[in-house]
Amino acid sequence: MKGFKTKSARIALCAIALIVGATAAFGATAQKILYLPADAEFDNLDPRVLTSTIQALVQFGIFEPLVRTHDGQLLPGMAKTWEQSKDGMTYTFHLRDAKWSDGKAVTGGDFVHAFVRMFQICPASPIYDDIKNGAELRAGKVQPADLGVKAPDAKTVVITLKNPVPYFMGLIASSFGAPGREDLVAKYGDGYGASAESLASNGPFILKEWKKNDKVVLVKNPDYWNASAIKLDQVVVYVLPTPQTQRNLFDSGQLDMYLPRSESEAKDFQAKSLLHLYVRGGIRDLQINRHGQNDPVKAKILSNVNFMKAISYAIDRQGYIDNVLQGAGYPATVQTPPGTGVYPGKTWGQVSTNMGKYHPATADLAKSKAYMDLVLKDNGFTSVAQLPTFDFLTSIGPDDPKDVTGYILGVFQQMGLKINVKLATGQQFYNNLYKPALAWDICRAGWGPDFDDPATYMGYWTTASTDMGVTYENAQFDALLAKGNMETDLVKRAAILNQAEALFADNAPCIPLIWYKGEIALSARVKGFTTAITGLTTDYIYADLTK
Amino acid sequence: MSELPQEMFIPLDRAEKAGLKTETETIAFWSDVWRRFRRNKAGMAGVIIIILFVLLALIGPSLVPYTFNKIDLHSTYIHPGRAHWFGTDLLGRDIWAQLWIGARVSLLIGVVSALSQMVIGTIVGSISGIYGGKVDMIIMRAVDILIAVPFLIWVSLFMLVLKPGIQSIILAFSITEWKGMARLVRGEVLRLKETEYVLASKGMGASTWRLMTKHFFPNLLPVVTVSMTFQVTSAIFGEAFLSYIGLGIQPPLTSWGVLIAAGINEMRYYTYMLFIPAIFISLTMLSLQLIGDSLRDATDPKLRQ
Amino acid sequence: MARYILNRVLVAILTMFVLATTTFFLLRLVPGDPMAGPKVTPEVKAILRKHYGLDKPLMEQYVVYMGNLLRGDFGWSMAARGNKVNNIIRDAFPASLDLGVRSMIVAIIMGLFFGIVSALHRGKPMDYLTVILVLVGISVPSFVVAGLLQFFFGVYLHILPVARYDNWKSTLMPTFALSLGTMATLARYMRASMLEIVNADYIKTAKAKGLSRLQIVMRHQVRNALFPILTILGPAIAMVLTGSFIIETVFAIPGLGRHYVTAMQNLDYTLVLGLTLFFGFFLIAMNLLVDFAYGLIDPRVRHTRG
Repeated sequence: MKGFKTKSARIALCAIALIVGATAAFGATAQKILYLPADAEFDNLDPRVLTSTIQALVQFGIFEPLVRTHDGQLLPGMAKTWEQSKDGMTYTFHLRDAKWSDGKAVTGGDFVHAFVRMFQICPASPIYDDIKNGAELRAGKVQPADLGVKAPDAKTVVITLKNPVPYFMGLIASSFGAPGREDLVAKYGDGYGASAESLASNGPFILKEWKKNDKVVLVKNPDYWNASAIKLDQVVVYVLPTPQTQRNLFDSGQLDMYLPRSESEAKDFQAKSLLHLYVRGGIRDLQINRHGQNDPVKAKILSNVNFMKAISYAIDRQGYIDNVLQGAGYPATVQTPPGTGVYPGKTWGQVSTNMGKYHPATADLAKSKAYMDLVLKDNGFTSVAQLPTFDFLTSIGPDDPKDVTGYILGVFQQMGLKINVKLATGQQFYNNLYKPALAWDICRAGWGPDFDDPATYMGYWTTASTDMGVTYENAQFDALLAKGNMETDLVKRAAILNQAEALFADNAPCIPLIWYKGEIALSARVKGFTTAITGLTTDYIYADLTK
Repeated sequence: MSELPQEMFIPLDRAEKAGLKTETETIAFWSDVWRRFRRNKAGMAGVIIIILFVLLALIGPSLVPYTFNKIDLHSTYIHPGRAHWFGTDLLGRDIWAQLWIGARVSLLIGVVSALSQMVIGTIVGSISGIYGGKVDMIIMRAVDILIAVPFLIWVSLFMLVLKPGIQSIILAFSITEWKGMARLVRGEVLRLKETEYVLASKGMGASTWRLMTKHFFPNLLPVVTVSMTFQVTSAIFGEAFLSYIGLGIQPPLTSWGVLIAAGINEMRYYTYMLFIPAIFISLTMLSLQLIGDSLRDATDPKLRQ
Repeated sequence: MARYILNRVLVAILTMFVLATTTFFLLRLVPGDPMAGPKVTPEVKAILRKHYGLDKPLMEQYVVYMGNLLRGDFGWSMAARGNKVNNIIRDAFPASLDLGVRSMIVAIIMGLFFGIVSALHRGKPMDYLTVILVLVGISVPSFVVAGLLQFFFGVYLHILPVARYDNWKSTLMPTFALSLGTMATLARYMRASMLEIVNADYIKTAKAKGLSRLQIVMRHQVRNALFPILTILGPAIAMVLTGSFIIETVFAIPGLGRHYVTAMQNLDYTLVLGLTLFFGFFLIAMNLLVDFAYGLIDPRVRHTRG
């Protein structure tokens, strides 16, 4: 009797388990949910307010720009078709019939509003200064109606530029090219973009849930123009501040994507065939403040181009990459990474004539010393010990997967330089980096591309730029870049850019260190996953899950 | 209790006063404390460990042929072994050398902060206790405000204002963590004020300064010493906390907090990087607790045998 | 009693005022500008500074802030753009409270349990076990405990979720890591408190009356030993609160502590200020409650305190 009882209980249990299991299995096939990590909270998802890679991950899915890039191809977005004027200065976009997630129609006016708002409040707006009256609008010198973005009717958007920009379509194929909602901005005021209900989506996905510091949930937008090509039902992005946590969740199958932080990790994933390589933009560099914080002795040394070279030749880029980054990078011998696109079908690596010529991949201490001797001679010193103490500004942040700072300090130590480290956390770093503080002589910084073109890697060094604390201050360089960007023949333009880069690499106050290598681990069930804007954003829109 | 009228007493002259001095009492007290302390095995173990750690902090880094911040890209992430006793980190820096330089920093911060908290706390607490009235009220309200917010929040706020470094950490701990000591001292002073020998001394015309140096301080010393032992642990812990959230010790210098923070990030592949500093900071905290406990027992008159 | 309560409340209000003022001016002494950032042009920065009222004289900013504070408005966060500090606190407090309450409950129950048991078994294995627990609890920093737990149970044994806070299993490690220190402190105090009264006359009387051991322990020893324990509850709550800063970061829990750490790194004046005042307010309120509870239980307090 007792045995029977247990048996029947077991059977009942099995039945329940079967039902539960079946439901779970059914649920899993019915819903394709992709799980992604984010390094920090999004805070605000209005592209006009915050625009770092953290926000871009979500903005990319919920906003549809005029055009989109996918896998290196330019695809239509809200614009069904578009044409360019002969002088390359006017673009006309013809919009398709589309709806916002709250049911309102997407109109040309929504784009005008978005661009006006961008120039009024967005920190990143100087990227679009080629648009007519953009910079003037930001400075408050012209009215919003004067901006070179107009909507002659509800279905047309016309953008007028100051000068031809060869990479303009790539430039607006980002969340900045997405429309905005004037009525919602008016309704929510300063709180616009900071909550799920304040945002309307027009992209492939709709922002359904946003739990601060925890997760966002995106669901498929049934009204999206290309909805039949969207395979995922949901995308869940977890906010996970430590890489350790992301890795552990990836291993336990709760995340579909992980960026390996070291080569030993990458090798682990390679062995399991989970590792994917992609082109990744961005450069880490050392910048030199040639004004030396207004100390004439320092200024004279720092503006000596041999000082820059002495440091550059003391750096073992390859050794650092092999042993510390454990392979996760390439030695930066010039400014622009080779994977950057320059004209259709060509990358900068194929076109550049400067690669490997200016900064060494492995350290050459004899050369470093020779350059340093020149510096000493020019300044009337006899030994490195007599040089003043330099302030070295650096930070430890999420952009630094490994201890770059520690290594650079070791290099300075080896050279015999006296260094005062100013290590700043988070916001303090930027406060020291920029004018008016500019409280450093040498700084470890870097640059992420705003669009896929060498111009983004050099533009921030022009005299007019305020992107970094210091600029190149070289009229010839400024003129070359300006000339390059006016040139509509892309092959000729590449030659001009080459010239500018050669000049820059030879004597700018900038020492390139590394270009990151793009390695990404994806769970085995993910298909059709790529990256966008030279690897800074993951492109999950057309991804699919097999299991 | 009302004060005794001063006119009733004729002050003694210097020679007569000298004859009345009885200082043997305090000496006897401390040798008695030591005698009792020695018998406590746990406390003695703590003392031995701390002495050992202090010695290693002084000579440890020179026992290995590496300086603590020497970067060697050809020997990164070496596991503990012959060449590197405690292994190396991501830049090939020797962890043994880093650990003892870190010990210097952490112990220095612990001891100096505790000392300065003691000085500030004793002075403020004595003033509060001796003068009483409005002075006492103002000081005690200030203490209430400091206590309202956990000291690590105060310290973090001060660290934002100050330039990061050892001095700043010590300064931040000193200006925020004297409150406990002040309360303790005030309580003791209030108690001592009522004792007969203090009243007698007062009656004999002793100045406030004399009362403080002659009667209050020697009697406060046991309580203050015990409390100080615990303050050292709280300062070492505080430094680790600050370093963990990025407001503490900055490279190229290191501390136990910095090492633990690095270890937590690397624990998946390089477990020793977390375990080594964790074991040493825990042993130190443990030893200080044991010392504090047995010192308290040894100075407690109730437990006197 | 009414006068005592009124007095305590007035002091609490004064404390809050001084706390707000001190923190406000302390933060303005912090070098730097919360609006600086990569690719932020001077024009945009000027617009933002004006938007947040940072262009006004300091005293005016202070008066505006205090005015808003009286209405319970902590203002807008400077780094988390478009987010009101009140909303951030509203969204994050539940997770912190949940973790804090769990930890306090675990700490109190386990702490008292170990304290009582070890006092009753003085000098026996159970006592030594408690002593070891206490020593570990007070000498190993909570983030080391958190790191080691994550390693053993999450990474090595794979039996508990490594992070996130969404089911009961995921609450176990953070709760334990956060409660260990407080648990140890409570166990230690309870043990001492129990031992102190074990020889009290009323215990001897109770024994003489022939009460059972359990009755004596529960009715007389434990109840009387609890009084002094109440006083350390205030500091214990503060300890759990600061402990949560790191525990929440390590375990990716969307609570207030994590906000506090990032707000300090971002120089988010308003968020740091708002959170400091919120923590201050919370702790003062908790301490008041503890005081009142103590006053209710022990009539002597009403006259000697405050």
